[in-house]
Order: sequence, then C-alpha cells, then structure tokens
Amino acid sequence: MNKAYIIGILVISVAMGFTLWSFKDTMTPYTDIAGARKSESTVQVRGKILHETTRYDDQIHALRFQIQDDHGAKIEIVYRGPKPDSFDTAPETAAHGMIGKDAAGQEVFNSDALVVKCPTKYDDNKTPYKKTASTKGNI
Amino acid sequence: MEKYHSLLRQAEMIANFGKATVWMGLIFAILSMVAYGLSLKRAGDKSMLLIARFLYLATSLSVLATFSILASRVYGMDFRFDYVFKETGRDLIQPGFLHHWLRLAATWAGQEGSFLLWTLWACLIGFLVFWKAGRYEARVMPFYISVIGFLCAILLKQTPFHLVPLPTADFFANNPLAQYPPLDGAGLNSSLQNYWMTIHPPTIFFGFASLAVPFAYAVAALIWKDYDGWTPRVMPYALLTCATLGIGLFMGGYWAYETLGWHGFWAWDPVENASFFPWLAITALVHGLVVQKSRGGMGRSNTFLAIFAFWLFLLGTFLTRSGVLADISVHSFGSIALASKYLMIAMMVVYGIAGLALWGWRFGTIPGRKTIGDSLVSRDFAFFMAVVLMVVACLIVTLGTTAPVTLPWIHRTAVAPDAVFYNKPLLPLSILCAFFMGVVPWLAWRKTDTEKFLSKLVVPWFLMLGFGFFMIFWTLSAEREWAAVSDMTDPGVMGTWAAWGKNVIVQRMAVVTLCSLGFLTALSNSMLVYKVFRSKPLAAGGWLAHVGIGIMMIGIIVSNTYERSAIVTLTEGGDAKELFGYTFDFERMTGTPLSGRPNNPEYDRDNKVAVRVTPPAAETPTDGSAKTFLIYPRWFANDLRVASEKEIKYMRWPAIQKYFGHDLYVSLASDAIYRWPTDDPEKQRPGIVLQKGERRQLGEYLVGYFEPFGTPGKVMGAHLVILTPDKKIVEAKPAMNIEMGMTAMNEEIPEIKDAHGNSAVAILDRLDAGTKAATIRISLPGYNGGWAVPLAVTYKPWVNLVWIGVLIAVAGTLLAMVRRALEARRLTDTPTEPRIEPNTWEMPSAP
Repeated sequence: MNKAYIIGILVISVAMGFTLWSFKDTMTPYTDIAGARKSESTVQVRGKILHETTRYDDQIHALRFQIQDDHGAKIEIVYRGPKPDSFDTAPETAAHGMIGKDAAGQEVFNSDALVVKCPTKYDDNKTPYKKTASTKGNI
Repeated sequence: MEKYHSLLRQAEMIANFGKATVWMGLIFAILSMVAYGLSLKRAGDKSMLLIARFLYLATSLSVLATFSILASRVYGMDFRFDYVFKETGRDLIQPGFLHHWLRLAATWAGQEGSFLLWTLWACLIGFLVFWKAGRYEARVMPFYISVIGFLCAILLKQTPFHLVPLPTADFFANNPLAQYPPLDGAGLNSSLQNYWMTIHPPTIFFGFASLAVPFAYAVAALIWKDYDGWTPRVMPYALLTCATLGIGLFMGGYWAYETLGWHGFWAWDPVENASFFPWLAITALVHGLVVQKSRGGMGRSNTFLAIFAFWLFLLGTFLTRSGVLADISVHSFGSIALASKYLMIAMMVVYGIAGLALWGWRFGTIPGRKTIGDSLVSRDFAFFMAVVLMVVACLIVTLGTTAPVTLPWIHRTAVAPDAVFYNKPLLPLSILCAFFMGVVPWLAWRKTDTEKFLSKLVVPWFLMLGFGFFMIFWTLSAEREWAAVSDMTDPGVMGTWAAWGKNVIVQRMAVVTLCSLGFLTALSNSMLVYKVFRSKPLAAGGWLAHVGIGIMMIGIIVSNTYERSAIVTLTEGGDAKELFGYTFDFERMTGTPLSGRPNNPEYDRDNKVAVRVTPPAAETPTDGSAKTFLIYPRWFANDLRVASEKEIKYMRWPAIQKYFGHDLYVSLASDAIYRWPTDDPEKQRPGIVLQKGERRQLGEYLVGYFEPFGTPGKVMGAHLVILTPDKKIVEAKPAMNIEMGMTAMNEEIPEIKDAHGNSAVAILDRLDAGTKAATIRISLPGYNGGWAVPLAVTYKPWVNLVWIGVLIAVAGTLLAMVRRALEARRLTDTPTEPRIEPNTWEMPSAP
C-alpha cells in the first residue's frame, strides 16, 4: 500500500465520519405546536398561515402572524428577516425556530427562517377558463 | 364558435407537427446509434460512418425544429398552447430590447422547455464531438447519442405541445367576456422577469449538456480498453464543462444576490447543489486527467469520475425536477408526468448501474501506477490530494442534498439539513485545499528537492504571515462592529453564532487561516502565472484559475462572517436613521397611483422607494459639499389590474450600492406600508371609527357621520357630510358591496382635490351591525397618512472579491481549455503511448 493512498483514504474517512457524526445535530426536526412547546432546542413547525393576523411590528422590526397546525393549535410567529416574496399568497409555512416570549410576556415562536411554498408558483392547475361566473383576470 | 373550432384545428396541426419532430428526433437518434454500431463492425467502410453522421444531422435538425416551433409559439404569445399560457403573459410586451429577449426566454421557463433547451445544446455539442473525435468517433457517439434519445423520449411524455381545451358553447354563453384563445396568459413568474433569465439557464444547461462527453469517452475507453488515449481528447470538454458550470453557478448566485433580498448568494438550496456536486466531480476529473496525461496513472479514478459526474448530474436533475424535494427547495419545479419520472429513473439506473458494472469489470485491467506516493513532496501528490478533497466535498454535498429523500429509508422525518451541515466539514476541507493550491506551484512532478522547494516557498510564505497578522487585526475590529449592531435576542443572529459553536476563538482562527491560505494560493499562483505567461501564455490557464479560487475563498469567508445587518423603519416626514455610518432618509415614492385605485398605496407595477443616503464623513468630499445619493429599493406588485387586494403578489428587489471594499445592500424588509389616519394608538389597524351621528374635526375638515344606508345582504354604506375649509358642504357615501365579496364602492370624493389633483378618499372598512359604528379609511388634503418603509440594511465587506475571483477562475479555465483543445488538434489517429513530460524544475509545466 503506498503512502498517498493511505493518506487519501484517511482524509476521506475522517471527513465522512465527521460529517455523518454531525449529521444529527444539524437537522431540525419537524414537530407540531405542542411538541415545540416541550422542545428545548430549535424545531420546525408547519402550519396554516392565518393571514388576517399578519402585521409588521415596528418596535422589533418583525413580521408577526399566527399559524394553526393540523390539531387546531395556534401560535404567533415572530419572524425577523426579509418577508419571503411569496408569503402573501402562501397557504402554509414551515417556521424554523424556538418557543420564547415577546416583550409583552406573550408566548411566541421566534423564527429565523420561513419555508414558504407558494401554490401559484408552478401551479399545474393554472387554467384559462374557471368554472365560476367571474372570469375576471382570466379572460 | 365555428371560428374557435377552426383556430383549434390550426393549433392541433401545429402541435402534431411539433410532436412529430420529437418522434423524428428519437427515431433518427436510434438509427444513428445503430449506424455507428455497424460502422464499427466494418472498420474500413466509410459509407456507414457517413450514413450515421447524416442521421445525427437529422436528429439535430428535428430537435432544432421542435425548439423553433415552441419558441415561436412562446414569442408569439399563442395562448392556445397550454405551455405558452402557463409560462408567459402579455405584461412581457413592453418596449426595449430586453423584453424581446425575455419573451423568448420564457421558452425555457417551465419543465418541458428546459428539457428541450438541454436537448438542443446536447445536439449542438455533438457536432463538436464527432468532428473532433477522430478514430474515436464511432466508439463515442453511440453513447453520446443515447442521452439525446432519452431526452427525446422524456419530451414525448412531457410534451410542451398540450393545447388549452376549447370550452363548450354553454360556457361561452354563460361567460360573455370569455374568448378563445385566452386573451392573456398566467404570466412569467415574476422572479424570472429579469435579464439573468435570458442568460443563466442557457449557460448552465450548456454545462449540463457537455457533461455527457467525458461520460461517453470514459465508457468507450473502458469497453475498448484504451485507458490513456482518451485523455487528451476529453480534456477540452472537461474544462469546458468546468468553466460553463462554474460561470453558470456564479450567475445564479449573483441573480439571487441581486433580487432575492436576503443579502446572500448561496443558500445550499437543492437546485444550487444539483449543479454544484457535478461541478466538484468534473473539477476533480480535470485534475486527475492532468496527472494521467502528464505522468500516467489515475486511469481507474478518471474513468470512474467521468461516469460519476454525469450520473450525479442525472441525480440532481431527478431530485429537482421530479418534485420529490418540492417542500424543501425555493425553486423546485412542480411534479412531472409519472412516465417521464420513470424515464429519468431509467436513465439513472442504466447509466449508473451499467457504467459502474463496466468499470468494476474492467478495474483489474486498468494499469495502475505505483509511483504516485513515492514522494509526498511532489506535484503528483498535490494533484492526487486535489482529487481526493474534491471527491469528499462532492460526497458531502450529495449526502446533504439527498437527505430529505434518504432519511425516510432509515425511518426519520424528511428534513433538509441546515447550512451548518455543509459549512462545518467543508471549512477544514477548504483550508486543506487552499494549502495544497498555495504550495503546488513550487512543486515539481515526481520528486521535488525539499530544500529547493522550501527556498522557493519562503518569500510567499512570509508574505502570507504578514497578511495573516493584518487579518487578525482586521477581524478584531470587524467583530467589534458586528457585536455593536447585533441583537443577541434575534434568533437569526443566534443561529449564525451557534454555527461557530459560540466560540469566538474558533471563528477567528478559521477565518484568519483560510484567508491567509487563500492569500498564499493567489500569491504563489500569480507568481507562477507571471513566469509561465512570458514563455508559454496558454500554459498559464490552470494557475490563473487557482489565483481566482484563492481570491474567492477570502471573499466568501469574510463577506459571510462579518456581514452586518439591521432593520430600520423610515417614515414619510420622520427622522433620518443612521446605520453603519450611513444616514438613510425617506425621499419619495416613484410609483403612479392607478386611476382605478385612488390613493391606493399599491401604486403601479414598478414601485420604487427613493431613499436619500448620506455616506460617512470619510467618503464625503472634503470641500464641504454634501455628497448624498439616492438609492431605489423596490417592490413589484403583480396582477394589480385584476387581483383583489388580498391576491396581489409582491416581489421585492433590493438596491445594491457597490464600493470597492464593501457593498451596501438595502432591501425592503417587508412591504412598504401606507399609514392611513387611524384611531388605533399602536397604528396597527388603519382607519378611524365614527359613531352614528358623530362629528369630528379632521385637519381642516369637519366630518360628520349622518347615518348608515343600504340594502340588507346587498350593499351597506355610511352617509358622510364634510364641511370644507371654504365652507362648502360635500356629501360622501362610501359603501361596501356585500354580494361582490365586500368590495369597496364610492371611495372617491371628486369634489375635494389636493394640490396634485388627486381626489380625497373615504373607504368603508367595517360597519358594526349593532352600534352602526363605521370604520373608515379617510384621506383628505392636509389630513392623510404617510409611508412607513421597513428597510433591511446589510453592510457586506469584501464581497467584490467573490465576483472578481470567480471571473478570474473562469477566465483561467477557459484559457486552459484553449490550450488543451489546440493540443488535441495535433493528435494523430494512431494509438500512442502517454507522453511523459520531462521533469523540469525551472519551468514546471502547467496543467
């Protein structure tokens, strides 16, 4: 066995070992709102965006809105960052972050990343002729 | 109706012709493969070869015809075609050269079109392949053409020639406004309405298409056991792929940086990764080929890498196109037809399993070279390590990207790993890479005299140490400035911080080490470029690419670690805000209010916020003149004409002020908000609440709410009486149409106009069923709201080094490609032994 191959194999195995070892730490598990309340670390919560609750909080420069998960539980998300472009039309989001409290002592979910899936982006159901009376926008 | 039917028949004819061209492409491709196969049997017979070439020409012309038909439909906005309807719209018809290009670029906006673009490029590159392949033509072309055949088959199942179905006569009777063909399409996705759309996809698909060439050569080499002869011929293609994929990745990154507003250029998104891991594999192959051509050996790893790189690209295509990652990626394409999904899986299985089996079967017969580890102080070893490190990086990125698909196999939830997953192991790998790149110019092939090597390294090494000391002081000051503006309760900041293990020493050491080694890489390689360039200019290409990579490494680590972000809200008429030494002040809105939406904050499609910026004293002229400038962060509001207020889609576009040393990156953190006069102390809800019979002085106007009116279930409104400053009485009846989904009516008050001629507005938002209290958004001259603009400002140091580095690296790669292409031209068609380059020390030969 020559030296180069030994070093090569060593580098590959150390790097891959390290990667696999740190794999678990860098994954953020999905959970529901009840699970997020129990969790002590970062989680991802998926839920329906309640658009009528959306507002921009000037004090802490955050987008605040409520989401509702599959079990009907609701929580307010406080997201500090640029509003995702497709947010306004997105039906649901997965928020990455942790449960915390805001300045008023309310329980909120502090989020640093929102994964927003936009229904209209690559909508296979785009059709020029809707079955409703209103043809506004599609004539 | 008859007119519609004849229009439909005409479209059907065009669609059938389009589908026929795809069939022809597939059939000619298969025939061409067969003819090439037969020509191998009869080696002396040139006529079969000519037939095969002719059939290949026919394949290419068919694909070109398919592309032209689709492009002409898209450019002509023929909305009878489903694809055209979905991917483009009349809002692209605007004056200017760019919009003509954009109308054409919509051709590759969807799944089908981008597959077609890939096929077209593959056909064009094929001409280069058979023209330059010499005696390898008949061996290589069948495998190359098989890829085109697969693509044609996918295009048959995933055809862009579906038609919009013609509605029934009843439908037209019920919808008198409906027309056939539809008057307008769904529109090009707003984030694609950008000049990069015209150039980024063609570039990256060119890179993808050219990946098939090294693959076909490697397969031919394995079958005919010609393990060295293929290297000089395949090198130009490998370098071409490396350069086009590289520049394509750069364009994508710059596009994201310029438009997405999150002040980054790389997000480890699956679509980005899907181009990045083939790039890593093909770059590893380039280094392996240099070793094989100059010194012999590495035949096993090179044939493997060529097959692997192509397979990885198929994997990436499958991951991003099939919709398996739809929940995770920001740019995921929608799902595709099941049949084409199976075809893509078939491609992966056929090329992957068969390729690997062939390689494994031939493994024993490929001559190895035992000398590569003779001396660890040698260029051979440095190149070997380059291959190893890039393969490792490639595996890590592939592992992370496929994790959402593979995790369910081990009964875990499908989650995409965070950026930390990639950054953690890639940082030490980059440091190792930079080290080898920094010392390789001073190493000779085979064996280097250690003393000579050290004596050559000593000058750049000490210069590097000097730069390292400078970096220590620079990072200390950057850390202070970062801490000064960072809110440690912000989870985003905490996340960045946690990525470094909350350890400032680790962070500082990693940054300083990588920057120093990046500096060494750039320095050593530029010294060699200077030396080589004077005697053999073409041979400088590879080293020049390393110069660029070194510069880019510094740019990436510094701009990402020490970028500083903060958000401020600018208000119309409010105070200026200061951030990072710059002062920001709201100047004006540039949009024009739409006539149908009086005083509506949405304005028009292209809303810009003019913000006046005063740079810090150091950047202001010393003669005392105020040097301020305007920047225009903006937001597009799509479908303004037609959508209701809730349905309007926004897209924000940041403003970037470039300096030599940093970028000032300003984007709207949220939509600019129009603040209507409000009773709400927190200013969260717009509108004032008037009780029935109440009178209130609003600015110079006295507004009274006389009584509610309306028809139950149809319309409800509030009867207002307004006394103007010049004692005129004006009545206003803002109302809500309940039948039409609570849409506002009578909002304009044409009798009252402001200085600009805009009418006053009263919009009824709510009428309490019990108390009859009305919530009204009202705007009167001298009594109106103002804009509040949340601005996200990022100070990004040294980011220009990233772009400069990439451009140098690509230029170097292209130079190396030219050199290798010229070398390949001199090749004779007789098999030769690999040329072993003389082990010269004074003039090390460049890759």
